Amino acid sequence: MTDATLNTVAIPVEPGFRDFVRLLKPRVMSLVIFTAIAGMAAAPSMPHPVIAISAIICIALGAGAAGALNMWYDADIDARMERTAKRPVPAGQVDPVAARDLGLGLSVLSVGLLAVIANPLSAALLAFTIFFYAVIYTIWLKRATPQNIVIGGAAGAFPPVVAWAAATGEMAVAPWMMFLIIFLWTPPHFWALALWRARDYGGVGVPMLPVVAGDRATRRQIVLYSALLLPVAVAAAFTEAGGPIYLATATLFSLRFLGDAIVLARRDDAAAESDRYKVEKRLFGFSILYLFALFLAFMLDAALLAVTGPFGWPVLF
Amino acid sequence: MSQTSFKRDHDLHLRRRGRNLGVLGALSGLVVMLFSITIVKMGDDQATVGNPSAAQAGGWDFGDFIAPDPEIHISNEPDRPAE
Repeated sequence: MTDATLNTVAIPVEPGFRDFVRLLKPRVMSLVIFTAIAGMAAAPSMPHPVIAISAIICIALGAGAAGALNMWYDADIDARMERTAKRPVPAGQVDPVAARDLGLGLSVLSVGLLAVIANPLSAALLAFTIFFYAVIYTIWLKRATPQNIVIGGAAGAFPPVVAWAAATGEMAVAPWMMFLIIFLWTPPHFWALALWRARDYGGVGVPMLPVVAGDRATRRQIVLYSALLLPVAVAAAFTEAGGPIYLATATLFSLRFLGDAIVLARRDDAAAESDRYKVEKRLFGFSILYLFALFLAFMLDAALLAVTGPFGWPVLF
Repeated sequence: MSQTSFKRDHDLHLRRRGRNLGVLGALSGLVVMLFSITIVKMGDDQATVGNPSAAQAGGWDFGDFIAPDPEIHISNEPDRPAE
C-alpha cells in the first residue's frame, strides 16, 4: 500500500444531532403539528392537556419517521436535484442505514406510544399514515405515476384525522373534511412549485406532471383542483368543526386561491419565464398562507364555541 | 509548538458531543412525558382520557386497574366461610 492509497481512505462521517433532526423534515413536521392541533382543538371532547400534547408529539414523531424513511429511499434521486441535494443522506452527513433505522424506530415508538396514550384507533391511523407515505407513495408510486403528488397528498392529509381520533376515540365527518381540504390543496400547491422546478424532476426520472403531461396540462389541473377545493372548504364550515370565522375565512381565501389559479392557467411557459415565474411563485406562497388561515380559523371557531357555548350554528354534515 | 493545538477539540468530537447532548435531551423529554402521562392516567376521572370507547366497551380501561373505585373495599384477608 502506498501513501497515495492511504490518502484516499474516506474519513467516517460523524453526524451531528441537527443532521438527524433534518432527516425528520422539520418544515413538514410543523405543518403536521399545526393541522393536528387544529383537528384536536375542533374535536367535541378535549382530552387532558398532557394527553393532548403527548398525542400531538406522537403524531409529529410519526410524520418525522415517514420523512426519514422517505429520505433513506430517495437518497439516489435527491442527490441529483438542486432542491434536495443538501439533504443529510445525499450530502453524506448521515449514513443511509442510520436514516432507515431512525425512521423504523420512530415509527414503532410513535405508534406504540399513541396506542397507550390515546387509543388504538388513532394509533392504527398513524401507522397507516406512515405506511402510506413511506411505502405506497415513496416506494411504489412516486416514480411510477404523474399523479404521485395527489397520492402523496393523502398522507399529508391524515394528521387532523389522527388527532381527532386521539381526542374522541371515534370518527366523524368533520376530520374527513379537513382531510379532503389538505388532499385537494396539495396538488395545486406542489404543482405551482413544480412548474419552475420541472427540469430538476425530469433529470432524475420522476414523472412529475409538468414533465410528463407538459406545462399547459399542469396549469389546467391546478385550476381543476382549486375549483374542487372551493366547495369542499366552504362545506367544512357546516360540520362540527366549523363556525362563522371559518366560513368567512374559507370563502374569501378559496375564492382568491381559485382566482390566482385561473390567472396562472391563462399563462404559458414563455410568459412565465419572462417574469421568472412570478405568478407561479405567488400561488405557491399564497397556498401556504391559505392552509394556515383555514386551520387557524378552525381553532378560532373552537375557541369561540368554548367561550360562548352552543349558539345554533347549522351542522349539516 | 503550542500546547493548545492538542487541547482543542476536533470538529468530529464537537459533533459527537452535540449529538450525545441532543439524544440526552430527547430521552429526558421522553421520560418527563411518560411520567406526566402516568400521573394523569392514575388521577381520578382521567383513566380513559382520549379513549372514551374504552369506557363504553369496558376494555382497555387502565383506571379500573390503577385507580380502583374507592367505594369497593379490597381486603387481603381470606374469605370467611358463610355461617
